[in-house]
Amino acid sequence: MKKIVVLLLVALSFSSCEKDDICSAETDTTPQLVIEFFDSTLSTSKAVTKLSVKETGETYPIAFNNLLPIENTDRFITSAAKIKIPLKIDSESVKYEFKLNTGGDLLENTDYLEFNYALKTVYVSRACGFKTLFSLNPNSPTKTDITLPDNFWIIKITVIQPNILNENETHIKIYF
Amino acid sequence: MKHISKYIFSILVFLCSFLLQAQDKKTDSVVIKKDRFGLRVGIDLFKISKSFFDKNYKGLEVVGDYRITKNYFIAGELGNENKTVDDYQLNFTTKGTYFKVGFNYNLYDNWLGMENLTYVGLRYGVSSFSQTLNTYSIYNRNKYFGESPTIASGEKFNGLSAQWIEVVAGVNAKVYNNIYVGFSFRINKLMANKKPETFDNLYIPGFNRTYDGDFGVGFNYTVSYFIPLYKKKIEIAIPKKVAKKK
Repeated sequence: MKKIVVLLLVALSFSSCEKDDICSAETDTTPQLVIEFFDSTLSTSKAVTKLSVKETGETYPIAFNNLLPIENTDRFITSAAKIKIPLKIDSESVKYEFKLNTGGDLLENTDYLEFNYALKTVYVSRACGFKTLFSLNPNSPTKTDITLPDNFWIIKITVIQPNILNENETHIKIYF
Repeated sequence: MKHISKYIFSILVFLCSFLLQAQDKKTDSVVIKKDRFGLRVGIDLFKISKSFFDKNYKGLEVVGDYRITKNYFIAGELGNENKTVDDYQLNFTTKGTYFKVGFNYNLYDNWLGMENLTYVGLRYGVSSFSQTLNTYSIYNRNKYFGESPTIASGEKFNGLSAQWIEVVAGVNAKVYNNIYVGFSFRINKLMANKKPETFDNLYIPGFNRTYDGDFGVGFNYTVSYFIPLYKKKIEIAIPKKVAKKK
């Protein structure tokens, strides 16, 4: 009898090891759009200078350095060769302004990119719930300039992977 | 991890069967008492009381066993559950009926006139159910557009089913005349699970909550009534060694 109780307890302790109450950071949930920047002449990966990205309806740009306080403008500026930006999960299009040389009065240059896409809701797990996957429309993204044209800083856009399923691969290449 | 627990489970089942065989040693015997045989039917009080205090739960389970030999009982459970689970990311309702059948082996050595049970047993369970996804949230790590709203769904998944094995351990004590009170603990292992294509079986009536693997746990607290059908002389075993000494 004692043996059985011990065995039952052992079996119980093992079954309770399967933790699934917390959505693990390794689980793929709603992916962001991965954009990589390239030199237009050399076709090699190139870091942008002081880029800020803001959705046209939002007050603040995307926080690339979200550890910095909201008053610090560096919070919203990146000089990386690869960035991730979110797409809207409740709308089939999103328009972003890509501002190069943010803060440099004369060099500042803003281009608009509008992304149009289809949404798909997919079940993940008990802890994570559902995720949204995106599929870019064939002619997306579309590039426009601000009302007072200042020439495009973005020269060419290539869609590498129109199906945005995870953040492990580059979806879009921007040449400048 | 999953493999280790599978391994433990097999050992457990294996050892249980050994334990049952170990009782069959050759013995001399003397007839001294008559045991009552019959059908015991009962109800799970835990599910009934939970139905009263938990507005997200309605459940009923009828239990029964029938004594076939001195220590073996054919046992089974029949139940129905309607449970709404409100998790952080999901809210869903599972409704369905289940049936479990198997045996109990009584380990308790009763004194004359006593009819208590401390048992281990096995069950095979089958459940047929439906799930309704009430609301859900999209998990989005990037909060630039704010927190994801809770989305109402109402999508219903019909025709789901599951089958599993349960290892049972429990007690059943005679408290008054033919009235028994008992409880049992169960460890379940899923054998078959028909899931919807776009969702998962997060709760299975009879099996209870599912985890990432195929294990589950169960519990019941029963009150039952014994219907005596016939009496049978039971041979009380005396080991051979003792007899030889005389």
